[in-house]
Amino acid sequence: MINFLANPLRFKKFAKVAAPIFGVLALFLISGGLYFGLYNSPEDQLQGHSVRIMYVHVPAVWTGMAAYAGMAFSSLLAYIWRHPLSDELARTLALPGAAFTALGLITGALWGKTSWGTYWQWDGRMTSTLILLFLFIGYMAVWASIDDKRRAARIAGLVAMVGSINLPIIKFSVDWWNTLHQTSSVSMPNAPGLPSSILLPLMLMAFGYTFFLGWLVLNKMLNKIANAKTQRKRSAAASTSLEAL
Amino acid sequence: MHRYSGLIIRDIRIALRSGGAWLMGLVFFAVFLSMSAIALGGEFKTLRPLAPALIWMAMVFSLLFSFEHLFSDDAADGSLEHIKLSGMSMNTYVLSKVCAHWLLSVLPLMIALPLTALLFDLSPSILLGLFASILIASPALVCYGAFSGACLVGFKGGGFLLVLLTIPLIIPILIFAVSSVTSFQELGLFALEFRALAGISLIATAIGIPTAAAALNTIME
Amino acid sequence: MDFIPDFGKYNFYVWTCYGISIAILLAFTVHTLLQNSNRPK
Repeated sequence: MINFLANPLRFKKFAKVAAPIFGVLALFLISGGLYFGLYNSPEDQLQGHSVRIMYVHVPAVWTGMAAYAGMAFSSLLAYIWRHPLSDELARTLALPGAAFTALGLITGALWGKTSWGTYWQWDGRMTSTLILLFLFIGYMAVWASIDDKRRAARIAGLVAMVGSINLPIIKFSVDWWNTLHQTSSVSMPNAPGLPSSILLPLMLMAFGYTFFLGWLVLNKMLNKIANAKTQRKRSAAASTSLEAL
Repeated sequence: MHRYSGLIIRDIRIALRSGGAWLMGLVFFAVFLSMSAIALGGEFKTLRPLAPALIWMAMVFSLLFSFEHLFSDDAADGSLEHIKLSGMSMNTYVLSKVCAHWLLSVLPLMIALPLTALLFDLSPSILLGLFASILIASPALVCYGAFSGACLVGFKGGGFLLVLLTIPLIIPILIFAVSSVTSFQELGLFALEFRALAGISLIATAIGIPTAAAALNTIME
Repeated sequence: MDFIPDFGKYNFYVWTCYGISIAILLAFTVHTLLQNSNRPK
């Protein structure tokens, strides 16, 4: 599968079919999620209407984490097999991933205001999400500041992989640190125990966000492939016209 | 083995000849701590409980700024390529650099540590806890720093980016190290934090050295 | 069913969260669609 898609032509064929499907799925799932989340779900007994924030907060954080995982995985592929497409894929995932992580933090802060009374708590989840955002920013900063593109790809890939190895350690240490301080935490019920009225909009939104990310990334990749092709054509044309002179 | 120790001695010689540039980390450490004491009002009552965290922060930042030049000097004057051509493995080179850097930057800080105990009026047992935490956690700090330093060789203004890249990796160390100082009072070296720090140091060495070597190899591709 | 339901004391928080989320999704969508329309054939 991976080697199959490593060829830009085959990737293009796949993306041209998959992108519209992802887009339509994302549209339906997110509008369904919004409908159930805003209009057709009950209030929570403890949290009242503020539980509705969960339907945009949790999917955003999940998608951010999924984007980081995808980034690290495709960096690994790029590192081992040197597929230039997987470098591009990792790079394309970074900005949406950072945006979703930031979105998760903002909505988390607003949710925190309703249940803790403060916008920010040094709660385990929020702290590790913040660190995830720093990792994304560092990754993008490496791409932005190295001129030589091949070297930037290698270094950024290393940064993504080292970060992904460290994420579990960070998560563990922050959770441990958090239990030391005994801060009150948003009672986020575990997924299997949730009533289906809450689970339905949550899942719709989560899958909707994931397909949205897929749609976004595939389209950007298609654009990059097309731009690279015209650039190659243009430079080829320039060199032939030079030879004609 | 011989070339490995030779590289360490060479690094230390160069540093000693450079007119005290290697001592800047120590100066930064002292200035940072005095500034914090002044900013916090200078009362021992408020300073004492904050001292382990402040000392660790000063440590982390004085080390972070030192990694910018860990490999860039060797890359600039061509000795990096020379070493690569001599058939020495990049991992060995990075390891020797890391050891030399530990001797040149962490060791002076540890020697200066008793003086900070005077600045903050710390008890001997807290000082011992700090010693233990720095000793166990410093391999991780140095290895992660070496990784970021290797990534940013040949960078203009890489200092801020180096901090940005390294801080997320260092947060677990900071968490366990600061709380290890208090648990040292009751449990000594058997506190959970020291085991966690030792584990992180092992993982960091295992990840940091090969990735730093890989990053250095990208320059010469 | 109201078009803009009122969530009582949480009204501001819930609507801000949904507003920001939808705004970011739309911003990415518009940007991508614009890029797609400029895509060289």
